[in-house]
Amino acid sequence: MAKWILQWLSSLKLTVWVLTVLIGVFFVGAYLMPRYPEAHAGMNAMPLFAWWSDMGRRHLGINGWLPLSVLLLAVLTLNTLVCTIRALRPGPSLWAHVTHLGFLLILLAHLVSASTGFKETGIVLVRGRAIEVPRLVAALELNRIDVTPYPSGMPRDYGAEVIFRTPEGRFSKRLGPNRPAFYRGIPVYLKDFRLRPVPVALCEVAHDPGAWLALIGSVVFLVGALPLPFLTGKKRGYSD
Amino acid sequence: MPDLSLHGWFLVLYGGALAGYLAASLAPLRWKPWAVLVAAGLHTGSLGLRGVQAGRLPLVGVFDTLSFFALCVALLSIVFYRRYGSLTFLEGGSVLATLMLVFDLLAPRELRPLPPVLRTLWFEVHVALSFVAYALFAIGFLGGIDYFLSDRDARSLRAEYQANLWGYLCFSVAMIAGGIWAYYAWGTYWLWTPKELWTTIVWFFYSLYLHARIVRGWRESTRAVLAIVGFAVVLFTYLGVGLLMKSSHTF
Repeated sequence: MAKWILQWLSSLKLTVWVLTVLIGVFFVGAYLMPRYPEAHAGMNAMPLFAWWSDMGRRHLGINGWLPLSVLLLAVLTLNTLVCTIRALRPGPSLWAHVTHLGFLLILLAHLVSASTGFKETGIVLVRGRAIEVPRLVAALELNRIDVTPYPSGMPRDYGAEVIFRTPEGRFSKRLGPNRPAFYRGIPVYLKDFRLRPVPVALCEVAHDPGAWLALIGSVVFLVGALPLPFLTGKKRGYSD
Repeated sequence: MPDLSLHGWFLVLYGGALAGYLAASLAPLRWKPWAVLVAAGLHTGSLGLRGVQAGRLPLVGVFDTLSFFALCVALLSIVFYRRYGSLTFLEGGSVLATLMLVFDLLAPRELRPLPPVLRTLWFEVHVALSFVAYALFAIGFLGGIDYFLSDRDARSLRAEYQANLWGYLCFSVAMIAGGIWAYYAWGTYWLWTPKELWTTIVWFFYSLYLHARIVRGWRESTRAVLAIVGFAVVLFTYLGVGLLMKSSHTF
């Protein structure tokens, strides 16, 4: 019985069927998200599990695709894990299992991101007044905003110089599009700005502890995937 | 030499490319490779001029991305024709490129300044590799068609597999680059939007294709059908989701 369960859990057919159902569930989710925006509101403003326990589960009939996809991903994780452990041996198929390891690390990263981390949104900074950001253990104050315009007047680039008042002392950092400022490993983002009547910077603190794990998983995935096109069909073999 | 502006030369080259692909679709067999090659040359020139006009890589908006997509399909169709010898790649590639450029004529063409959030190498890698991947999936689709047209020739399946595998790799790198960019731009490598879900559907679909290929007892025709269906999923992810839904990919 145990042998049969192990065989079933590591089978390629299970992979194919779980992926097929997962595609169907994501298809339903992609259809429902824009159709019922109120049921998905705030989904990107906090870690997924916090959103689910706070708001998401209130619309179970519409959001049911989300726990279902998590369940299917759990089965896929088990399938990948058992398959890799059972088949692990030196040889050409080793590279495929390195991609599996990368995939598992990426899934673990999503789990970490969904269950930990935080976002502090709507931090409005002006000159001359420091705003406490408790999660950052620091107070932030706007020093100045610079805008480099296109000839048409649209901003080509912009940035805000923000003063960090921290237990370690006072220092300033520059924030801009694609350029968050890090303090104790936690990034601070410039979301928007206004120059008149007084310069105002709208900032956000977003801590995603799964990000580094996702990056490591991605690198491992690519290390395993890049040799695959160079392996011949005979070396790859067939499986159940 | 006629006195044309940069935009005028762009239109001449773009029109030449469209005419070239159309000619390649209709030309006698021995002229097809040359017709596609000349059309792709003109097309590269038109995209180059568009880049000079914009002062950046021309990869923003439906007009430029569809044009780049068509060029990648045309160039890859030549590569796969040379490697696997099937005219389906060349014929299908030129027909697809023609259709894409005709459809492209309906898209807005004005060049808008690049929003600051798009001014990063991660965005360029993300978009460029996404469309190279889409083009490889298009070649995989032609491989699937060729399998049925060529009386189930194993070479078509090999071509289809290689195209889809390379497409899968490029698409994975594009997703990783997109995740890194999203982290620096918005503070997270993943956003819950329909576009992200569809992108993941594409990735899951080709993961399924690559696994289904080695399941014992699965018929080769099933895999060829998967390659054909996969391209429909890709087209919907690119055009359908982009045109019908708002997401983090709307600029």
